[in-house]
Amino acid sequence: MFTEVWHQMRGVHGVFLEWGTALEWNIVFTFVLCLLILCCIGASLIVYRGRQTEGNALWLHLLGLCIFPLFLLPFGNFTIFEYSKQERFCASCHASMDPYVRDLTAPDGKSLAATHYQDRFAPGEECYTCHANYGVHGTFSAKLLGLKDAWRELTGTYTVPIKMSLPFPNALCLKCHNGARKFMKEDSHTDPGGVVARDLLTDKTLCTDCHVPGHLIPGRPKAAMKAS
Amino acid sequence: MAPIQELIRGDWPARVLAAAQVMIATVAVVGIAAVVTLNPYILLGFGAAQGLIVIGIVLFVIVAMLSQRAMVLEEFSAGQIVFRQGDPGHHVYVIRSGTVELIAEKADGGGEIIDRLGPGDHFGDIALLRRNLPRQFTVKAATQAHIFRISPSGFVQLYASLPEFREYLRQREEPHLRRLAAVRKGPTQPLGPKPPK
Repeated sequence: MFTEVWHQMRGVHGVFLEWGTALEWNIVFTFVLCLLILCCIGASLIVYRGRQTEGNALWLHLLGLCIFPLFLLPFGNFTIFEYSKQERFCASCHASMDPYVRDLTAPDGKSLAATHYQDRFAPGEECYTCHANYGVHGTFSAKLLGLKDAWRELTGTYTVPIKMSLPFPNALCLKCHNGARKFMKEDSHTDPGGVVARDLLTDKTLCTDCHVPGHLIPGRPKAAMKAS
Repeated sequence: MAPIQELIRGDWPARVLAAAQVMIATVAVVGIAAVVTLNPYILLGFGAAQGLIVIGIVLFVIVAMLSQRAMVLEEFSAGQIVFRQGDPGHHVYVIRSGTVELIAEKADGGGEIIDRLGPGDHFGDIALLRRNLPRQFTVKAATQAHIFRISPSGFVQLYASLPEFREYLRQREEPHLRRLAAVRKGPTQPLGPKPPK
């Protein structure tokens, strides 16, 4: 993390880059709160040794065992949930995710994932943006699936290449593309009256039926682009 | 059952507080490791450990509320230890019923009874009034005993505000300390007369 922050601070051509997203501030707050908690506990063990349940020791405990931890709960959880949206979080499962990372960053990448990643549609959060459904329910499902994936990676109970357990639902594409000018100009995307085609909304026709490949992974059959 | 009984009867607020400290310190250490390394597994471990924070806070609140009680009645069965020589001392005890033995433990592992106390007697004040002094002897219940455990703040308040009480404690303390010094220095001597109440 500190190497990353250092590189970010050095910037490009010595020009400082902006620092201070909600995630970055939360990482700092989490670190400081953890440190303060440890300092309070350490100080109480040294200063109030043998009489920790009496007098002024309780005020120190109020800080170290109640107030700071109460702040740590939201800051810590925010850090975890926000960081787990990052592409680098997904990419940290090296054995299973490396081919996908290579696909994303390949200079001549032709897959949908590479196009979205390299055109910076959702900087830093590309995996999450395309694989999490809309709304709170989508976030919850994505985190749950992420936990299962992490468990499989930890226990080595996964198969390579990874296969999607369900077809990629159109809702994941439509949450961004629905209503976009380029998308709505395409006749096959709309019904008469200029509204989004019913078949797309009901997943009768999948986006991935025409737009492939989502990821271009060596060793997997290369799907051809179908005519729409 | 013995550890549970010990936990309930012994200086349990300190133990509960220690448990709260261990839980919250563990989360803090994992939290620092998580944000410094940004390792996904440590981050997930940090997330899973958040429950310990909630438990730790609840334990602290329980200790903070109950440690405000000035006096707690505890029950000891015959042969059970109230506190051991060398333990840090911060409570004073007053016997309601039963008998306890004050035992001076020697370096060779043996022990000698320096006094027996009964209803109305108190003990534990030496370690409290002489700061940083550990318990000078082990106290063991000779019969089933009901003993009031008085908080240091309540005791010190009485000690500071009542000169007669101070004088009474001084008179009670001297024979005990003399006897204790004699036991540790030389051969066994018979128990002296009981100090005045």
